[in-house]
Amino acid sequence: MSPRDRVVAAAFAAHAAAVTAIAARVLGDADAARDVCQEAFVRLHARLDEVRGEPGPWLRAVAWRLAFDAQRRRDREARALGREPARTAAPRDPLPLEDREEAARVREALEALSPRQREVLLLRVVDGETFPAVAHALAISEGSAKVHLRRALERLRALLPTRRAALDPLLDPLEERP
Amino acid sequence: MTCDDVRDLLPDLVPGEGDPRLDEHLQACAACSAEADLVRALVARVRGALEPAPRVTPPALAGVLAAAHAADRSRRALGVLARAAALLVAAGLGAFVDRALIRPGVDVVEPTPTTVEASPADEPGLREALAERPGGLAASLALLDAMSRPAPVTRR
Repeated sequence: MSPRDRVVAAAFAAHAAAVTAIAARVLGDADAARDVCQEAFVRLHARLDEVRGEPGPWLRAVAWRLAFDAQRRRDREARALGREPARTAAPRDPLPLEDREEAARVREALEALSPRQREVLLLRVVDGETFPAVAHALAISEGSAKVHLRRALERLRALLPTRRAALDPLLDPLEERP
Repeated sequence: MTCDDVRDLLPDLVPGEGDPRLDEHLQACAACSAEADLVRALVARVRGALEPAPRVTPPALAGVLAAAHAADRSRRALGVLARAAALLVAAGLGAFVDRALIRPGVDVVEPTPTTVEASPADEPGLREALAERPGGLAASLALLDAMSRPAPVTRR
């Protein structure tokens, strides 16, 4: 095993499960999730010289990006075949229908974000990375990361009305604020 | 801390990390507190849509490394092809320049005893290269190289 292989193997041992889980969250398909995980580590192997420090945040950013790219390709293929893109989980999913529909709405809203806004949001919100780690993984400044997150949240607020408002459009939750 | 300061810090609320000054303002300001609640609710919706992660076994390391090596070989092969293509373009350009610059009647194989103007074709090394295969790659590259240097003047 070459030194490069050893470094990648160590990163794999530490992060492969998390990277696969990210892809599985987005794609809901085990084989597709494993493909994304493999591609993320192949890219790490090729760009090892560019990744400084802990590769975890970088790998997770790549995994989110690859997973959403794969989702978009899958949707395009489905539309090309005259089918509706799969937005809800599999029928045998134990979640109630309302929750599955909510999950589908949120995912659609996430796809409406720019790739950078989405990556910053997911690394910060779902993965719990600090702003310095997010900035380092995406090779941007902390200030830019905060701006991207703020814009992502603003966009999501516009795309995802509050659940109470969704159920009763006459009720404006802002009216409750003094 | 003003409401504007709080709005700037709201993204930092996302993982639930506390800032005592922020908490103090939120306790005192209902508007900012409501705004913070909206942000937290939105974050919870995003997390809920993507969690819990289904249990999926990662791929095998051996397969990942094999794919990485294959990708590396592909990149190197593409690099070789790109360099070969660049050489072909240079050869074609050299051949074009070669034919355009060599004047009719000039014997590029043997030096003439007469005084002639300095010409890149007079360089001995270049003469051999051209003699070997006029218009060939070696001749074209040698011509390009000679043109970039002042050529010696052959005098009688």
